[in-house]
Amino acid sequence: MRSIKHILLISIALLLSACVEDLAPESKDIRSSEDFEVIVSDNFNILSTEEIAIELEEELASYDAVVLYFTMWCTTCSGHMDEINYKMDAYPNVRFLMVDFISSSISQAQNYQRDNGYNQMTTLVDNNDILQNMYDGKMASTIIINSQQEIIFNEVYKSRLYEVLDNL
Amino acid sequence: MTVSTIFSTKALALSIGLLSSSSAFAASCCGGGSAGSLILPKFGKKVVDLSFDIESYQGKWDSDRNYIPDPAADSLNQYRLNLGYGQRLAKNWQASIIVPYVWNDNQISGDSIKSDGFGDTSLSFWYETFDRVTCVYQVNTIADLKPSIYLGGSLTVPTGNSMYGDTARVSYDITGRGLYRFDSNIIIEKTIYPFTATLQGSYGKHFARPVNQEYGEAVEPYTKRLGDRRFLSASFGYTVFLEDLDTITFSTALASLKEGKAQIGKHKEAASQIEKRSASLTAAYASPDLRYIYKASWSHAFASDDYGMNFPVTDIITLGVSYAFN
Repeated sequence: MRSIKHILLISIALLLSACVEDLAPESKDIRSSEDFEVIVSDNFNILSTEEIAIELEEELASYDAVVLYFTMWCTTCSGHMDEINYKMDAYPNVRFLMVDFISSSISQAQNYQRDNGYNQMTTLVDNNDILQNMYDGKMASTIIINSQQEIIFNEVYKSRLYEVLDNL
Repeated sequence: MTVSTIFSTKALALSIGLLSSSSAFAASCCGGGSAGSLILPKFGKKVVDLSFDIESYQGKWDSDRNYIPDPAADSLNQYRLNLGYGQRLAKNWQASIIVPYVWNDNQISGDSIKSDGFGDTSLSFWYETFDRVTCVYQVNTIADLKPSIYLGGSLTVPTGNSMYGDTARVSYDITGRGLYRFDSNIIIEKTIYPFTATLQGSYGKHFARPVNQEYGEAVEPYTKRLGDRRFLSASFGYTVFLEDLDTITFSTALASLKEGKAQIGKHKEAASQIEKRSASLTAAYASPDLRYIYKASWSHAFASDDYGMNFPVTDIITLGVSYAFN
């Protein structure tokens, strides 16, 4: 039985040494100078689930900013989308666009959108991974692009998003 | 297309599952506890426990508590191997550790996505408020009604891969939540053979942590704390004695779990509040000397409105064995 203890201890030691950041998280700002450089977004032209072409430059001609939210229709995403849906009316000068980056076709994205009850939210179908590659999009990634077409926010969804929008 | 992510809520389900899965034979007479609260029998000095969870996803509850099924073509499954070890520290004190290893196996939008890694580790200690086994065959005096009461604490250590750590680059890499949590636990149990009733409750507080990266990408540092967690479970069991005094105990349990809003910086994150209600059935075989226990349980979340919020609806089948020794 001593050997079981040793196996356990060794397993735990390996386990603990593999995940240092979570075990002893740091508050140090690790962003490099590159992270502070202004990045201008390329233009995009993507079909929505309504099969309407949405072009970034065209949207920014009408709005002060565009917000992209990357959804995979999961539980976490639904919670975020409900909150966005609730708050978006307070930002009439901002265009909120959901990005379905998991569906392989428009019809599949339409089904996800309908079944999850988000028909009222404009949803882009990124079935060719264009937006995912442009913005390094992951589940719940949230991007703000201002009227100068600069990416001013690219993080996982959090309420700080609205602080940034308030300061546009 | 390339699907590069999968539900990070699986990590959520994982860490919640470690405490809320069915109370598999939580009996003071033969030990046990739930998957997240390994408990030694009164006579035991040490126990090794091995269990395997098969969790299948059936859909989710949204923030309005509506049940939304997963598309028929999607198949989301998570498997967990839980290795536990318990050690008696003193007459009425014991401690345990449970280390899970996690496999995700998913079919989503026609793509197959698999990943694996350690989950979050659970370290627990328990104080038994009773000196002798309280299981009785019949009630002759008031003292025979005395229940077994366990008081304990559990520390969840974020040994899994979280979106804030060094290793996860996409959400399907996630196997843990990335935050420490301390739960205060109580188990109250009474066995009057052949019946056993058990109440289990816990209140957990997450520790705040700094975050300076998400999926390996540096972000403006912030502080995050997940919401407080409340867990309640009530179970009722019936024990059948076999020829050689070995036993099979069948039990059923109802469980409720709630976690409050997370806080990021000064903001409460409304979308982070979660709830889940579930029921479970367990069968446990105990050898005559109570050293071996084989268990099988099925935990079922109700695929209906109002049984949860912001949480996946899953069924969990658990198979396990434990061995107590001196």
